[in-house]
Amino acid sequence: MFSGGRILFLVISIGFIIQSPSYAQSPSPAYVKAIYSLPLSLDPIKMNDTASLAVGNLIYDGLLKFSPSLKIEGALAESWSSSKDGKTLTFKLKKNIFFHNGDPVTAADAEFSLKRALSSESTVRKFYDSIKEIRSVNDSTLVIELNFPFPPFLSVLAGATAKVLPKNKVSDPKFFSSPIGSGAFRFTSLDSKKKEINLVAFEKYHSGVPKISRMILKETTEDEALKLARNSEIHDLANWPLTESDSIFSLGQRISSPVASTWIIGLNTHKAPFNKLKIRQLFKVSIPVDEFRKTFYPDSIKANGYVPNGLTGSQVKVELKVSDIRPPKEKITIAIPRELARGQEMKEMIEKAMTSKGWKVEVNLMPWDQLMEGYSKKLHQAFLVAMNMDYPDADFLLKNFESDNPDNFSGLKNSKIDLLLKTSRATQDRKQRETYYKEALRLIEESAVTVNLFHPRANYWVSKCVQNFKPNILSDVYIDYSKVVLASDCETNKVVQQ
Amino acid sequence: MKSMSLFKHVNSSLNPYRWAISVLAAVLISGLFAGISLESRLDTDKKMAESLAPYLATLIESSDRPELLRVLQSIAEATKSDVVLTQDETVFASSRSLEELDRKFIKPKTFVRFFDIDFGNNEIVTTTNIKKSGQSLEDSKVYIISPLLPSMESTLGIFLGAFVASILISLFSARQMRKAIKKALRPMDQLHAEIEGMITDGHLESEPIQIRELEEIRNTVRSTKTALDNAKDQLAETKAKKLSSDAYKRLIHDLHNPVSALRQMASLAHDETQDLETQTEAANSIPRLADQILSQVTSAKKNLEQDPIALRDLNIVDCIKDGIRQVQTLENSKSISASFQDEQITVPHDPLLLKRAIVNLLENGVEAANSRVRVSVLRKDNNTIIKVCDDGAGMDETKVPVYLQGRGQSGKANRQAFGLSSTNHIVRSHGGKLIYRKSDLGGSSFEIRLGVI
Repeated sequence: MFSGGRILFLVISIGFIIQSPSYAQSPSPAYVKAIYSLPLSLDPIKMNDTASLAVGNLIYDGLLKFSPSLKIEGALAESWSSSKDGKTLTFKLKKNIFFHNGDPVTAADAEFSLKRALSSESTVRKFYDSIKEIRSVNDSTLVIELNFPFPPFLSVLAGATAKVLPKNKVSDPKFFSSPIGSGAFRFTSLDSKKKEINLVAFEKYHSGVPKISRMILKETTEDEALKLARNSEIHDLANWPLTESDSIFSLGQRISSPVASTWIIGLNTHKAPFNKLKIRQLFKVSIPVDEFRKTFYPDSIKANGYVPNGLTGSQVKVELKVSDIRPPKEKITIAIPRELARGQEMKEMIEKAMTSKGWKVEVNLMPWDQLMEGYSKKLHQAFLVAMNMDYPDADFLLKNFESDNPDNFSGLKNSKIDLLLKTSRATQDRKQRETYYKEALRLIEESAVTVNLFHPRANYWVSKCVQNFKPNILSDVYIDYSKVVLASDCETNKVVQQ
Repeated sequence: MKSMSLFKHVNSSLNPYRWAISVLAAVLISGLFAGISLESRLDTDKKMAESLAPYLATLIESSDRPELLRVLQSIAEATKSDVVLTQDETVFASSRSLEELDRKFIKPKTFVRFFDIDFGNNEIVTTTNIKKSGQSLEDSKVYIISPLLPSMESTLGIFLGAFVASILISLFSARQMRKAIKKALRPMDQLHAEIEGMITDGHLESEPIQIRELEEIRNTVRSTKTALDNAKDQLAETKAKKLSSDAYKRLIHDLHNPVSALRQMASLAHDETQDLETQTEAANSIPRLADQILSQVTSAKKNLEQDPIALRDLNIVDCIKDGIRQVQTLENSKSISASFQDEQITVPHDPLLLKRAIVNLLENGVEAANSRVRVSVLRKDNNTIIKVCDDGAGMDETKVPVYLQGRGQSGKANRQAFGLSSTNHIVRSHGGKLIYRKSDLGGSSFEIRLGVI
């Protein structure tokens, strides 16, 4: 369970034996997208990992959605309006919108789904805590009352967890084994052995029938995914933001975009010696951030701070004064996902660099699930993760540092930060909110609970047969596959050999 | 050299300037309109960016890229261009591709700068510094990149529209100008008609011409015409006097021989040294010679009694036709055929006298002809030749000069000899010659040779 940011997990497992299905040879060519993991859950209110969110975004639709440039557009909602005080939002649903089973989508379904997000079983409840009341006025009108005018709330509704489910079907215990949504693709099966999810285009999709008739989401590792791509057996490696110099791009298209993500080394203030501010600050400035970025992710964007470029707060840069501090004697262990393609090299670089500066640092390459377990239980002293955003507002990332947030991975407790964040949420004035954000971020940077490594630039590989693939600067989760085209006369094998 | 009307001359003289000026004016006006349109279009883009600059500056300060992307997208849609916002030469937001975000901005290659706007091969780049409260935000710029051709389409359309409109206005103006020229030249036509009237009909009085210079010309022509007529009359009088003098001289000359012969015969008749036969013959010759002298004097007297000559530039064909008609009215038993080289042969002549001469020749011809008389008029060099031929017996050529002098005896009531002398006198009065030849029809052929104007 992660608070605030999503953990972008690059590689989940290795050693997976790749069978050799030739998807491109199917009578009706299927679009094959490699994913680093099958979804941990298909329930939107329990999605915390990128793989689940990406699959959920294909199957489910919400009231709103993000355009590639993060413009908020209507998905199931035809239009929406806000009251003068910003506390009441009224949504008008589109006509002729249906779930995959043919049932019409109503405001009652939306009310039910959003209330689920507020329920105790929800792991994303924190996104919706500004909601006071939700009510459906009629089949096509939904009203949401907020406790305070929370400007980013529309972004929350456009996020991957605010999905509308059929009210009268969700109670079925097996619903999420064969989920029904109103998204562009209809779930047909999950093959646990093949580690594949099969989807087909939803004929009654409100924005038009998707151009891809069939889609296969195939779990694999990064290395295997690259092999599959070289063998023309997949069309899409968007789950792995590759470096732009990767040779795979000579065999397909490279579609590049920055993403709202920050790779960090998180520091746990509950674990000595990081319980000491000065030690954290010294550690933060000791990590060879530039060298790391240039060596392993040369096309990534330099991180000034915790918040990715292009979002409020990204300009906050704090110079820490650490000249009078020495490294502690205690050994520090940094957990890094073992599945990272160059994890061993990373380990060696960090250990060498830190040792030369007097630190006793050990980089522990551990399996993803183990790392995640330690993360959620706050067992690690330090850990390398990528913080993705569900909605493009600094609030999303800043939540991680609220004292009463159970997902506060750093264990930081700062009443000033808490007050600033609370105040900012109830502030409609953009500039005023910006001031609060900046102040909170300055305090967080001074607290030195994150070593900000870089902001990644996603280099998506797709086959040359793929057209109209538009990246999304928030995350690959939000890529709109309903508009993507798989050229029917373009056999993958031929394309790759070009 | 081919002549043309004054209107055509003026019109064709003006044409090159009219067209050159029209086309030049059309190009200049169209270019001006097109330039203003393009400048206005691009200036609008720039002003839009400038007006949004404070807001963009706020968004840059807030680092609110999603909002910036939305704004740039709106600008791009409004301007039908790509919009790129850079900070420190790095793309911070762009309407065209997410791919270029956070990368170094590659400005399109441009080759000319005009009013702060850069023109490239395929695009027009308008650059605006982001300012807030009059102060530039450090190294933040908005580039509006408009595709060149679509941007130029409206400009080109305006250019063509203005060009066509200018040309149409020029055409209309040219048409009006032609009308104005025609109207302006009407007094010239009036002047021409006036002068024509003066020459043909002798009208000297008419409506005054409005154009002073033309009226002066008309007055000059009128006074010249009057002076010319007077001069002609004087000339005719002088000529008549000269002709009379010449006639007297000819008479004196013609009388010299018969008078000398008369003296000789009178001398012989009284010369006792001569034998009787010679004296008798001489005595007998005296009355004959006296008759001859008397006949010559009578003929000369008749000729000198004729009306004084008044030469006019008139069509001689009309005069000849008149003569033929007159003779045919009296005698139609023999055919008179006529052939004219031209229906209009202007020769200075006195129509009354010349007709009398022609009638004389025709009457002689008809009288002498067996069946036909032929009249022909032709021009040769500078002469007009009127030929009257008949198919009669013809004349003794040796005696023709005697008849022309009026000394001959006509076999037919003395008429022919008398008529030829008169005809000869009239022709000579016109400065011409009367020539006798044998006719190809077998009889006589008399030619009147006159000078042609």
